[in-house]
Amino acid sequence: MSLIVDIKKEHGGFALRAAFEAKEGVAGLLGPSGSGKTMTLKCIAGIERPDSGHIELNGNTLFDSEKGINIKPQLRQVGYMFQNYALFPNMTVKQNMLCGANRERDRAKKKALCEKYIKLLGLSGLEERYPSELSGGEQQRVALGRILVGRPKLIMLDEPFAALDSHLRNRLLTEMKGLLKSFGGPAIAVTHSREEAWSLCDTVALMDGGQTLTHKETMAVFGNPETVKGAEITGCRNIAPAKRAGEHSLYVPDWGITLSCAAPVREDVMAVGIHDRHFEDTESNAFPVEILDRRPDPFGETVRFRYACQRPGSPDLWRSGAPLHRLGVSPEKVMALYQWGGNK
Amino acid sequence: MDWYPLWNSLRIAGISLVIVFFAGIFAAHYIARLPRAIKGVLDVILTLPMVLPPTVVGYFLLLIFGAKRPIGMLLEQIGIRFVMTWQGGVIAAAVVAFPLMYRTARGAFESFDKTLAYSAQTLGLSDAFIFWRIRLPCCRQGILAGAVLAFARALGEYGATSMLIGYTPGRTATISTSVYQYWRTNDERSALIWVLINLAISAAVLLAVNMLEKKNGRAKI
Repeated sequence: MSLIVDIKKEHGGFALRAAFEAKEGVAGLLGPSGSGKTMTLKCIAGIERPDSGHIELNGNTLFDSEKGINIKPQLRQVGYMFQNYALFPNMTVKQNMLCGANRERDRAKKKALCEKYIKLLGLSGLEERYPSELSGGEQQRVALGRILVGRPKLIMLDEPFAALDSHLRNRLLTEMKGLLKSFGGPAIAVTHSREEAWSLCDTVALMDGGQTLTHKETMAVFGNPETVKGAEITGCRNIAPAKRAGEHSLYVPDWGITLSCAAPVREDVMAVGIHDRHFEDTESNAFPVEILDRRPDPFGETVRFRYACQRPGSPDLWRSGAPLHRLGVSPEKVMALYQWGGNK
Repeated sequence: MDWYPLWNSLRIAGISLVIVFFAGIFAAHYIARLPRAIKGVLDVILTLPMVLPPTVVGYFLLLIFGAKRPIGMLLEQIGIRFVMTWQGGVIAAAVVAFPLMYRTARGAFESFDKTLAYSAQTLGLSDAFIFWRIRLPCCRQGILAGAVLAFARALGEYGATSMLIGYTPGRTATISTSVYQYWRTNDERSALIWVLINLAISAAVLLAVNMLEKKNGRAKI
């Protein structure tokens, strides 16, 4: 079971160029708003038509510009959960669920299927309620249930938690993860939140300026986002241009230092990135720093600093932790970045 | 007392409402999807009857359906006559009331949340189901408002009606033409009666709409 996407679409000065493969499990599309994540989902669902390319789900072609194939959204069996959940406001929970099960022609089976998912999702007792009478979390579960009763081949979630309060988010994240696991097929979750991508997705594809960048296991993406934009998207604030200085070393002119790097450095390296939390009290890659200010946060402290020989005018750096006067970085945490990012 | 104008007015307004209701909804539905340029032109043509003086509309209707005009003559041959008949009243009322239905329905469709239709498509629901069971019910308030306006306008139609079908007691007389005729012939009492009847009908329609709204109050749209 797999999804293969390789599409291009021009839309009012915006160029989408999405290419990735998703297998069983949850694949995340992580990127800032306006990076083309939702447009990608709409193309997969068949709501938007790509200019060119190919979309394949479990070996069936959904779209192919060369062969002139463009399957109607009704026939794609792709479950799409919209950011606002798009529950039909004129129908009760039960009626909404029945709409999702409309591919099942047998009435008794259809009813049983709906009842099963109403129970499974803990919606018992809410069957006769209208969407406007439900809480955000309940609405999300109805939206998911309405998709699951249709036995889709792929589930797509567009910012599934954006409409919810943050305290609800964590609980529902765990719940959603379990449901998607029991669904078994491939799922795509679009999000701009690193935390959501981190805790929900098995793999993550980074998106910027309409282009899919790195797509790897979640852990690997966060550990090595490969591009400058990717590093920013995964939450790295300390980025500077860099040059190759040796097999395992990088020269960073803005910071006035040379860093040793665990992975071999290629000739085409563009920049270096180091996460706030990776500046440590260690002797490897250690250089004197000047602390500019300290900002307490609920569970610790963030400090703003500059290297002693940092070039004036270059941006300040950030570290989460105590304000030491000499900071090091272990070579495994030095991220060499090879490309700028998307189209911009 | 001769009740014919009441019956005739209700008949004309009722039939023209049915025509305008469906024509307005379908025009709004299809025109909303057209390219902007064509949409603009059609919009002007379909809205014109609302802004033109009703007598001008009546003039155009006579141009089309007049006994010596091609279309009028053609219709005459299959036994249909719109000049000086109550059926002509339906045509006049429908033409004048159509823009009200069309414009309010279009406004309602344009404010409809497209993601509802998209999600329905991905769930496998047919386009017909989406239109009748999701789009129309979600736009119910706007459509209902349009229908009420159209009915009220059709009931009160005077200008185009008097041009096309005139005033013949017992044949083409409507409430509004009767009020004018009684007033003109100094029968103030009869005029007042018809004014009161008209008021009562209008009030009843508005009340019915309010009650309908309350009944469906739970499904917030």
